[in-house]
Amino acid sequence: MPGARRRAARLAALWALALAASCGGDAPLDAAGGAASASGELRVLGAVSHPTHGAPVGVVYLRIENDGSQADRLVAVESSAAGSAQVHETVFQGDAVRMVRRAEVEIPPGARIVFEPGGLHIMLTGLDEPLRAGQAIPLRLDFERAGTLRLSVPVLANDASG
Amino acid sequence: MRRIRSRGGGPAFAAPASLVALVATVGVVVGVGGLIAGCREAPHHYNGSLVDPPFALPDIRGTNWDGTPFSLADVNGKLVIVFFGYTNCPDVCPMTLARLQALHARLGERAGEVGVVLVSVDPDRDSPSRLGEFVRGFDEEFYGVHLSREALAAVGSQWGIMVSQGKPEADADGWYGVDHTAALYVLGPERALRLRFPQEMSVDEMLPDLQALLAALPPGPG
Repeated sequence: MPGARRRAARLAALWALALAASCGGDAPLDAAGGAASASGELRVLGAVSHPTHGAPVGVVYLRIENDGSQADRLVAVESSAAGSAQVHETVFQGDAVRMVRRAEVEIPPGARIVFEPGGLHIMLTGLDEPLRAGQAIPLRLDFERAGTLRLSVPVLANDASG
Repeated sequence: MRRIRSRGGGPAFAAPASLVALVATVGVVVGVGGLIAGCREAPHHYNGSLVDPPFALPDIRGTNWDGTPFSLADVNGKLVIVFFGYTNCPDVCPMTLARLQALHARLGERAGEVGVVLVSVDPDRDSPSRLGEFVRGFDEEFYGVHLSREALAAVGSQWGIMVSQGKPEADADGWYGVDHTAALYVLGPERALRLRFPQEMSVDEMLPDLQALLAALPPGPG
């Protein structure tokens, strides 16, 4: 099962890579199969999305690393696959969950900001089409200092086996 | 035979004979004790919160994704896991269903003994058919239940589930969130609460708890 999942992930990653190459994109993939992009001292790594299974909203997880000595700020996110993209954070109050919109995300120098399940994430609404495993969606991240980063984010089957 | 005969052979033989008897007796006692200890397994330490004795909860009645009436009593499985969520939830809800999918798969041949039910906390936007597409994207066997607003409010207060009321301010795209309790509730054969998993519990933590509950139940179809 893990072998099959890894193969599926690799296939999806190759697919995304091919798509990025065919579109003339400059978005490479990192070792885990997620999309990666960099501008100066700022790097975005491990960007992945998941199939929506009929849900009207999608999600992107990733991490942002700031190797520089100056703080940066994520000020906008956008995807041509969705009517709107926003940074949200899942907040737990005991066993109750709520989502809070984050207009900006501070990226301090030396920081590694992780967007992951149960925490920060990018929510996609107004999807043109359901997201399916194996496809890739374009994502644009605007940073105050580093400028714009573009990624082709692979849609990978959810892996919650552990 | 040799030992019986040796009994009459004086102290030199008598001592070893009684020693043999003693060793044999101790051996039998230890052996039987060990067998009994081996049969009695160490009690399972539950990762979730065990509810003992099981706590009776009112039924949940609504409509399953296929349009048929839903009642907890009709769910296939000796155990039922109930999760409250909604499809406009991009993070916690799909991740929880992905965990339940993995959990269900890892139960192997006992998967059929555990029913999984998503109850929507968003009756206005989650139609049964949308719930069907959603839950079946994870596992064909999962239930996706739509309740009327009134039924949801009643279940919320009876089960102690928080669901934010009223329509919050929608964003520019018309999206709004529903705050809700995202714990997992495991019900036994009488559909009484047996176990409660906090939201963040992993498959590795939940699996042995379910296996222990199943092992404690009488065999046969449930």
